[in-house]
Amino acid sequence: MTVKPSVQPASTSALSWLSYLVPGLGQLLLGHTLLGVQFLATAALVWLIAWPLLQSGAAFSIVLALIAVVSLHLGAGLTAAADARRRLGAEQAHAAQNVYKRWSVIVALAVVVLIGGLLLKWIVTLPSWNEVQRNFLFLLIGRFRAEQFADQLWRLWGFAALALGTVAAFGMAQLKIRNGWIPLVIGAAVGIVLLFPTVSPQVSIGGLALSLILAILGILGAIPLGLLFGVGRTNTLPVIRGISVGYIELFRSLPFITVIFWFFIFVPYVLGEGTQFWAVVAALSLFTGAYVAEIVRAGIQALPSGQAEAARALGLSGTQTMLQVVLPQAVRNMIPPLVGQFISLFKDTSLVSIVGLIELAGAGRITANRLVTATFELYLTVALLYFVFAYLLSLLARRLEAPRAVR
Amino acid sequence: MPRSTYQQLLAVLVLLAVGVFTFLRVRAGFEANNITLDWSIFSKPSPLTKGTYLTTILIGMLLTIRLALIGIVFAMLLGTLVGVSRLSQNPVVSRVAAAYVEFFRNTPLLVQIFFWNFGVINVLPAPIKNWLFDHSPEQWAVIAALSVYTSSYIAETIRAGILSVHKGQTEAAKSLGLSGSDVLGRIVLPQAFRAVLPPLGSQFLNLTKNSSLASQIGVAELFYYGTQVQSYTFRGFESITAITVAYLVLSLTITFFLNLLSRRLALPGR
Repeated sequence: MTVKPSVQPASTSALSWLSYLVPGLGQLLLGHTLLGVQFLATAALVWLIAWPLLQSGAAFSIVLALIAVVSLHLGAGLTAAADARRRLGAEQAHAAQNVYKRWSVIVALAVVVLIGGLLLKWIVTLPSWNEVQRNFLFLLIGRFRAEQFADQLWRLWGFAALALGTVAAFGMAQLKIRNGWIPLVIGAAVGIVLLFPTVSPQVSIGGLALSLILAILGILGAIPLGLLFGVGRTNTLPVIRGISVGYIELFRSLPFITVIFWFFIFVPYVLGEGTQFWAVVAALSLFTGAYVAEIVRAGIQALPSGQAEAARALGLSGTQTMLQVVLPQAVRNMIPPLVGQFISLFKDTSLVSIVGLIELAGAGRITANRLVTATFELYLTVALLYFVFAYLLSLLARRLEAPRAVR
Repeated sequence: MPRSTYQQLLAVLVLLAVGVFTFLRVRAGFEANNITLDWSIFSKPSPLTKGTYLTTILIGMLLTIRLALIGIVFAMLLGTLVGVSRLSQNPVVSRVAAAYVEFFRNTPLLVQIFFWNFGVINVLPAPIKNWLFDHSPEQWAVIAALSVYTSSYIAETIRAGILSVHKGQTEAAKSLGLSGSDVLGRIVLPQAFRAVLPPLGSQFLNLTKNSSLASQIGVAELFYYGTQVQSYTFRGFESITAITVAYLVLSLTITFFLNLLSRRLALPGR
């Protein structure tokens, strides 16, 4: 094992120009192993992609490859040269730091542009996008696009009501206007009334629309369950706590796919024939309810215990303390994780295609099986559709979380 | 009797009422459809694997554990890489890592499994495709999907862990002359991992549960074998019960060991 000399010999410093030729070599010789390895790895990646491109003859690819290769070699060389001057004093060391900062960004950008550009070009030029276009409406609303439902299409305005209610509630919260829940409830009520006939007694809608309806119905069932068992878990009475813990732990230890199987097989026995849709909604609600209960419990426990103690000392009963003092304050902490749980629920609805409801994932599966050729394009579209909604919701959750830091 | 006793009795009664109602309706449904329960099927020889149907379920459990272990190794590697990249001072690197996390967290795992299995494998170059077709492509698709999906959650956990390590630790290590990689690898990450052990453990549990989705593209694991037992024996109730009990056993065992582990490895004073 050799000991690294504290002052680099002049001959090694002079070798830093080697990095112009082989990115990373100069850094390695100067003793900056991490930087050297980073540049070497990047160089291997870039050249592996760029070499076939340079020989391909397509102008677009050659330009991308040249940009990446040139910025890589220039960056590695300049950084190594600046590093070699580091020993000359504090100013030079500072300058070397800046050179590294600037060029690491440029090189990373060039690599991202190279890979991203190629990927984008490849995806855009895939042959079967027109198949996706032809089936896009099926992905959005499923069988509902058929002729026989043409006079029912206006019911889709229910989604507009839902969106409007949510946006209004969010806007009012941002502007610090009270009672933001009123437009939310009105929007949800109008939306559900309009959309209800599309799922009951017969499920005529499908695709993304059905996924959204399932998620909304699921969370509407999960919140009361979560409140009931979440509060129950903080109860001091052992039997009530035991029942709550049993419910929460049972559903949290099972994969959703088994829960949905149970409900799909047994709910029709309990509620009668033709209740498969409600079996699925019940499965979504009970499964998500266990997770919501944990959110409720965490929200209650995050509250200083002095609140409940003070309420009890003022003579409020246990129920009054919970309903009038603890829960109203705890709800504020619960809303951001609740939105997160709603995103999970929205993603979980993709599993109901297993029991025959044709929501977004099911619609994608059916279309892919029929087309055979366009599978990549199709599943990418399905994934992006899920992503758009889930990402918008997660942005909302983050906005709701932000004011807490200020408060 | 005190009031609390009445409350508890009431809760038990409500639970009993729901249970008895469900039981009676299900039993009536079973009688109407001439379904009887027969638990002895699990001691009958299975055409699926060697041994009885019970062995089939147990083999399924082993395959699920194997899938989960392979998945967690790749997910930890990827997740650590992305989590560290998210905190990179290079804005391009940190943004690419953030985009990775957002995309894979906000799409359902089932769609990702389909995407890898039917989408990506179709468009791979011929030599890789041919190799995969000889080495159960579905299994690799599931491993890819599971580890990428879980890694996006692990990345966020690890990022939180790194941020929770006190800044003084990094500064002290740097002033002692440690290089950048040593500071990260020897000082920050070991503390970060220990700080986030409980959430990491729950990700491992999630991955085990999520591996049940592999059944949807025909990868043999617990849920797949369970549904196969059902279609061979026409015993829906018995096989779904077996699957449920098996997953409960798996989950509770994993939870038990994770609790043991986090108690032993927990950072003192936290």
